[in-house]
Amino acid sequence: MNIGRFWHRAPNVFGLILFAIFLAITPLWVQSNYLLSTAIFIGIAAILTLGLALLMGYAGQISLGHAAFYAMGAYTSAILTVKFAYSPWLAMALGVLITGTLAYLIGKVIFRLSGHYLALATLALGVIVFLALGEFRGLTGGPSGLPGVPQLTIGGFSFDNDVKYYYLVWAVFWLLLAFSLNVVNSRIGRALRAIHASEIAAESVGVDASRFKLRVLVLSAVYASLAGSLYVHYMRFVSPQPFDFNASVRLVVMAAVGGLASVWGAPFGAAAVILLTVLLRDTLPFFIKNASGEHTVIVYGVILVLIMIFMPEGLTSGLLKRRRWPSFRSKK
Amino acid sequence: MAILQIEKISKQFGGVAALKDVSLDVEEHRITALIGPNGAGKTTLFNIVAGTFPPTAGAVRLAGQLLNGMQAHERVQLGIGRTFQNALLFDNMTVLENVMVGCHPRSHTGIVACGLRLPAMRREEEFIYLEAMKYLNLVGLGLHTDELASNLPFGQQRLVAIARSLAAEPRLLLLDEPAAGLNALEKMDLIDLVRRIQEMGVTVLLVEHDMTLVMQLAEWIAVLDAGRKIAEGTPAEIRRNRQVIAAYLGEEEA
Repeated sequence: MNIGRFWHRAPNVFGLILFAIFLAITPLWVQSNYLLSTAIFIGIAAILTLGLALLMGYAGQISLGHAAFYAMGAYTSAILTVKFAYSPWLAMALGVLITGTLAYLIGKVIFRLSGHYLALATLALGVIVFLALGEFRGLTGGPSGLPGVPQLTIGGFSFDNDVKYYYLVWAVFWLLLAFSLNVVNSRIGRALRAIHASEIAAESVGVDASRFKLRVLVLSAVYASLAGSLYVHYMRFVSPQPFDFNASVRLVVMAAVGGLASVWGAPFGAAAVILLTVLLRDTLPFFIKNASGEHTVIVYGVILVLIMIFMPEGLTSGLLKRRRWPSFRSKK
Repeated sequence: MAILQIEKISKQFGGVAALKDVSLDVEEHRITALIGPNGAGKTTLFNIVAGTFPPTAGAVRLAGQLLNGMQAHERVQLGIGRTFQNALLFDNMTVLENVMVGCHPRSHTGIVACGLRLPAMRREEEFIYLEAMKYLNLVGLGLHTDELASNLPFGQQRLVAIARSLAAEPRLLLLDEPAAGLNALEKMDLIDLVRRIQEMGVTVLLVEHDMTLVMQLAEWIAVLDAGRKIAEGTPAEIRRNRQVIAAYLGEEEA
């Protein structure tokens, strides 16, 4: 084994260890239940963002209906456990299987075309799934939702409070992050980066671009499905509202804010957007009377534009590099 | 034996005929050059052989196997490697990584094995690394492995592109103007490199404008002019060919 290449990998290994320590000690100083619950939602969003960042950053494709994959996981878990008394873990695995298969079928068709058709297809999927959740009342409970989702348990151990659930969600995220880093630093990651740089050149060395895009789409859908299952077992309830078009847009914003150059951006993007949402919800009513969710969407838009101008590579690498001026100013 | 058979290839771009009824047999292990004035259709023919786009009519065979309808990446698996005029390296990757991507057709680990870093994946990574280093050393860039590909001078970028193609272990290598922009010394190195590639058992087909280099290197020359093949033969025969002289004098050296 070559030493140079060990050090090349080392930043990721050290990063993962430091990140694990940070995650492990956070509940020790975060005493507020409100903040802990926010941290759980950030963890779930980070899992979603991780998949989307792989899809956007490495396959160069955008999903505008990622909430649909999220909903598939959530509802598969909820329906199978509530209506058919499946074990939550089995339901979670079936959710992954169903969602992954759906993503595979969509990608199989879409990636025969070049260009950004995936954005359109997933946009449509998002709308269809959202409407279906409201309409198939017998199965989904319709707009009023499905209560009574059981808690997750392993043997006699039950994830019955926020501290336990926090560790579960972030352990899942940490494992998926490690998995993603390994994929990125492998022949598959290299092939994906090659496709991103030049699809013609990638094909000329034998990389089947559409097949690799398809794999990443399936992987990101699987992550989203897992996030959905974790979400319903935490909420113990599911309704269509968290899976609307806004949710898909928010996920794209999280991925863009975190940065697409590295999968490390995912937790930062998720945290930044969720903390901002909380902040806006608490402060916006002071400035605008009767401020609603739609006002926060405007703020998202402004922030997204600012980030695209000042930190086109996202918050993480933007802050790390400390670029003082955007390129159009430094040219003068 | 002909490793590559180009049979009556025509290519229309809209109303423009880029190639008309071009046939050419490329003998195995022989260095063949494709020459002709600008716009003669040389790169178009390369793109058709490599599968970048389909011909309007005609067939391409590799060692007897019909390639029509196969995509570019499938042809790489069968043994066709190529480089581009403008190198087309993966700019966001290091020199080593570029060549490692070249090993893609010879490696197989799936996404799950990669994500879990299973022993099979680690072994294959080691294999890919060693192979990439082998070809980087062959082109003389073994000391530039960790540089970003886009930071290299253009002549070296082309060498990386050659190493990247070789890493797939092609039977037939298509080189598109490998000498453009090189100085005299680099051209001598290139001639040496192409001969070594030939010794490895790879058949080389190259498009080149530099006649001195072509006459020195090629064992067989085919001449395209305005989409038609006007001549083929040994360098000595081509040098005497009236039609070839006319095509060149009429075009650029008049």
